[in-house]
Amino acid sequence: MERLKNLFSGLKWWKWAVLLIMPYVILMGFLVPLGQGITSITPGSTATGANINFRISAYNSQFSPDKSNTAWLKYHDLHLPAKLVKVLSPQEAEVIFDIPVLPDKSVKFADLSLIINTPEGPAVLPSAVSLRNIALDSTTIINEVWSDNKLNINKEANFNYPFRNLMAETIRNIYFHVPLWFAMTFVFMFSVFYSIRYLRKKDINDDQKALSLIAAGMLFGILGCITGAMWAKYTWGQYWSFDVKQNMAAISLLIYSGYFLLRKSLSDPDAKSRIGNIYSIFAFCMLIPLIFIIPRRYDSLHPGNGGNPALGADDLDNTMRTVFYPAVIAYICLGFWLAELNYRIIKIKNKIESHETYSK
Amino acid sequence: MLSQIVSLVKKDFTTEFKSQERIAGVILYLFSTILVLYYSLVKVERFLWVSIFWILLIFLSINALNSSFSKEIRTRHWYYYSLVHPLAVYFSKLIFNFIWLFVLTTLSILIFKVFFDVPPLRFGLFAVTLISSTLGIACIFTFISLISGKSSDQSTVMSVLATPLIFPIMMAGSRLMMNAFGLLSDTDYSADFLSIIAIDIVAIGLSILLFPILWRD
Amino acid sequence: MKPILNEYFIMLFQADFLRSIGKIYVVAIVSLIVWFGVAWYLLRLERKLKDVENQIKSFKS
Repeated sequence: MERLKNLFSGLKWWKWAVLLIMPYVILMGFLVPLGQGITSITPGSTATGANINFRISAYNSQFSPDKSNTAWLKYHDLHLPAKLVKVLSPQEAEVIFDIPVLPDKSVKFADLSLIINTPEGPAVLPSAVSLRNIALDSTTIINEVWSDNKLNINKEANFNYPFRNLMAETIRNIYFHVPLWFAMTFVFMFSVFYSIRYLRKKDINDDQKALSLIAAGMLFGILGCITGAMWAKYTWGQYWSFDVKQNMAAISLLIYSGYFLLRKSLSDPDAKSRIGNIYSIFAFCMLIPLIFIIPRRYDSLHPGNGGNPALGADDLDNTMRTVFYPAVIAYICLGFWLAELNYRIIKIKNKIESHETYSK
Repeated sequence: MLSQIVSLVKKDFTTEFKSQERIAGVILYLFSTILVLYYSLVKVERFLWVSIFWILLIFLSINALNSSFSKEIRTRHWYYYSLVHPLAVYFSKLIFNFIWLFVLTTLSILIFKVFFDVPPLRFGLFAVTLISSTLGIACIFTFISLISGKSSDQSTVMSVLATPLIFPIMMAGSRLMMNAFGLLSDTDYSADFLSIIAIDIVAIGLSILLFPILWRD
Repeated sequence: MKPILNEYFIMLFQADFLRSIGKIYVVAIVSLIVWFGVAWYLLRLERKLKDVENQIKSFKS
């Protein structure tokens, strides 16, 4: 017991944050189930006037014939109720539609989304069916109409993460991959703070702090690149898709590896820290447009590009926020912890070396 | 300070033009690169024009600006330091590098036009892009060449440090270039242009803040 | 024991293993990568610390 007390005594609050929040993030990240989602629908295309029978298979769903299930096809603001939802198994169902002509006759092809509403909550498949919008001959009579009334959708009954088609379970990577970038940026920002303080006060400790913070930030950046590549392989198809954010990440790593190269190439210890810190300030300021401005101008596979702000409601719902923000805090604190250990070792080393030169 | 800048720029030009082999070297480099491009490509499409132009510009600037602080000997640094304000040295270098890079780029475009006749659709946008991006590149190279001038392995450090730093300028600039050649459907170029200007201003402002610290050795 | 292990490895190296169960194994790999990265960093610190300790030892003797 005494030993345990010693182990934790004198820990700063942000180290406690890492120790407490990390298990929370891992537990929540892996244990909270995914909401139900539709994975496939056959047939994928149809024409107006058809009485069509879609067979859908779903993920994580508990369809049951005893409960009331409804379904709609949705086109912008218009929707069409299903005539019947026939449950085959907890993961499979058949939905039957009579499809009338869309009110806007000029549309030739329309991408319809499918919404299925169960007591557990809704499931949506965006652009599920492509509809050929053709005029009907007089013999086919369809009673259904496209309406724009408000849809009566059940609330999500369980605590779970949203299902997105390409991502499926990998949506949990938001807690393990994205905070790496947040932590990297934050740690670099702090290193700039110490660099500026070094240039003003010429305290060598500030220089060592900046150096170890940059090392920790680099670790996070490299990990972010590798984990991002892994995630990209199983959602976008390639490890490196030359997406604008991926390139920017690689370039910011290049810029900061230049910092280490510069320090290596300078021999005089005073010039090393002075010029290194000047470069790191310059580099960080050049990094700001790279991270925050330019990616928004380009089409990207990442969310939050092409003008819309990152992490809007579509990408991160309230359930995910309860885990994501703690995860970011925990990663930042972890970065500081790693940097601090490095800094303390460097400090002791410098002390020994100065002591040795004294005694000689 | 203005007179100091003017005289320093003049001095830079005279020393640069005195050593004719440097100018001849850069121009020869330009010619041979474009000739190699001509033999390997023969016909250049518009979108290739843009990418080739940027590759040419980056290597040209590494080649032409890399020695802007190294050719001065250390002792001469001391001499300047006692004579003039450090910002005068900085601005003279910046102006010299900017003019030199701009002249070389314009020259390379002229040579380019002889071999591959692809005119830009919007000439004004093209010229503005050229000026703003060469200004940014000249600024970053001036700063980095002073940093790398202090290290043992100058040319490697220079290219490793400067190339990733000019990447944001290159991205926004190539978008503007594409716009000038009519390659983009989205013809609104104000955001790209503003981001280049912002990068230029930030780079110059930072240099003004950091250069005096760096200069005092 | 052996055949089970064998089957397990066959499953592991199947092309679609990582895509099974809603690609959950991708999340596992990503979190493992993060852990191994941090562990690698700690090992580096360990080595540095050992150097310092050796320095102190040689200094005392």
